[in-house]
Amino acid sequence: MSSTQRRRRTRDHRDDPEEQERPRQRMNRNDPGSDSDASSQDDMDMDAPSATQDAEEQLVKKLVRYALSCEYSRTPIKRDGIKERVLGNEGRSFRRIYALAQKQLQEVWGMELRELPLREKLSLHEKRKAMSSASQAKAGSGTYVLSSILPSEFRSASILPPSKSPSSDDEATFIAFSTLVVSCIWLSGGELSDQKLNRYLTRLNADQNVSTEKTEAVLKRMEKQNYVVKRVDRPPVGQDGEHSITWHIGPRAKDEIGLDGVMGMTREVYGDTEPELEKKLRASLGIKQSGADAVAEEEAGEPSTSRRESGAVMN
Amino acid sequence: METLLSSGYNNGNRAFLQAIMARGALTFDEACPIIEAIWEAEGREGRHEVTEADFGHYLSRASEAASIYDYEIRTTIHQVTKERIYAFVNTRSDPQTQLATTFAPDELSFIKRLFDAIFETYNSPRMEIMAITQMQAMKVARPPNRNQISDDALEATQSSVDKGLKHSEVEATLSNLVLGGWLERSKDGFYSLSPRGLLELRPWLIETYNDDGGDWQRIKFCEACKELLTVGLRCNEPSCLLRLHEHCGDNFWRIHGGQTCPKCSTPFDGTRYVAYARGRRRPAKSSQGRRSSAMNHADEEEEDE
Ligand SMILES: [Zn+2]
Ligand SMILES: [Zn+2]
Repeated sequence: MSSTQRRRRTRDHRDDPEEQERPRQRMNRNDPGSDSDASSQDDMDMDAPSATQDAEEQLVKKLVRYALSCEYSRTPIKRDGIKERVLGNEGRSFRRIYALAQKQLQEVWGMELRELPLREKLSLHEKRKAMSSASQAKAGSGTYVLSSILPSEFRSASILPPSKSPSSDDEATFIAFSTLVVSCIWLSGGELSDQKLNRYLTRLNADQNVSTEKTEAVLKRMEKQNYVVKRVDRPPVGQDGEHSITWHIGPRAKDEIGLDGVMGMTREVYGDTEPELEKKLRASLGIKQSGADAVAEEEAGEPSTSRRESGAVMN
Repeated sequence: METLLSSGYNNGNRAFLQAIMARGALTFDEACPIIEAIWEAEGREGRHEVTEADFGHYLSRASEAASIYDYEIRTTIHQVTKERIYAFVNTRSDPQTQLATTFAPDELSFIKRLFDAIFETYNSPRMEIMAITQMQAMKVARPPNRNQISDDALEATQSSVDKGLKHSEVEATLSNLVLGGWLERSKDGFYSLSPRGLLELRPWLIETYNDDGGDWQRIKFCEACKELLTVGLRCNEPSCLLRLHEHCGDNFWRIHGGQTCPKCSTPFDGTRYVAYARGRRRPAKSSQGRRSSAMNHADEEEEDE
């Protein structure tokens, strides 16, 4: 099928399952267009022989579109969301459709979906509990991000902006701030108390506002987007005491910022690289020798390669 | 897709596709450093300065790839900067479905109220602003009076009562709309539809805000280029629907030979504006609308800062 034919065909079949299954969230009052698709229903049935293949192709396309639009707005891509919004009744075909969509994302867009690792077990208590119930050890988090798989030369800032939008000031601020917070947590061994974080932020004059936004709101956004994990420990039932809040590194930060992002940030803050700083930096991050991403990886128990470092070469 | 992949589609094309999608829209000037960086990444020898033709090549490959997924690259002139823009547009032009991927139901109904404000409240025959400040947006943070809500506009939220948005949520939604490439924020704080937003929402805006057969239409078009107009010049007769982009004026009047409105025959002096920015106030120019060309205008924008 030539691409023009294909295009025409897909146009005609605009009444995709998404439209039919979900109650339309139309924003307009009088909706003259809503029934107009009904007539094209018939020619779809005439396609009988290739109907399944066609339907499958449509689902793959829809999944690609869904992944792109989620990523575009930094909405987490969730397995449940894919099932609900893309697959509908075809939930069982998740694996097949996912694999086909993945291939198209790689070949056409130079990107791929990566499943984020499960959140680390945060406390000792949780770690023990997890060890005793080894059952779910291998389960993925069910949350995906769309990452570029192009070689790193093709991912320089002049090609891929830090932002998703033309007016990127706010977004650049957000990225700078979240990298900073993640760095603080990382440099503190992966866990930072709320008080300490606040102290750092106060020193940076960012405890109330980040640019024009409230700090609290930005932190919340970081949490929602999986850059950080906020953990609230309540005292055991029946005991008095304060809630304790700690901040941890979120899975997305590991993928997008990564160890080299943290090191880059720190070098940036402290100025030119000095041997002494490098040493301290490595010590804080638990890296023993240079180029020791792998060591850190072992210690963290999961890959710490950043998106920038991990490009698989295509073609 | 097979055709695409078998015809030399490479990482440079993929990178360009990512670049234009991430930005939502590009001008030639913005595209040059991207293409240079791609060439550098490819290790291309004997590079020359990026030309319009090079840009065109990357655009057409990106467009080919995007069209498989019902996206398109469309071009338009930015009404304020007057630059030619190439926008990455979703051609499955059902904004609700698109927005529903990324916004919650109560945010969606806020967005509808926001668009109503932009295209109804602040778009009267006397005052065509078609933009809104954050302060004004706060006024529609909550749905009006619940009893008045009979629109199916709010059906999406009928399962749970729509309590509207908090002020902080309004701020967040506005900035997400800017991030998503739907809105632009002007230097003096007006939010209006971006060129890409206008391209994508055109059918929906007409369907939603223009009454069939009514004398007055809220959504208007440039008489010359027929594109949707939200910034530009209007006829001196307040009830006339003639609108004209500043950058379309010169040609238009040359063809028409004389500056009389072709719709109502009122003399057209190019001093009445459809616009949002306070900065568009300008010293009254003589009766020559054509003088207020793109260049002059750009200068004035600078001065206004
Ligand atoms: Zn025009
Ligand atoms: Zn007129």
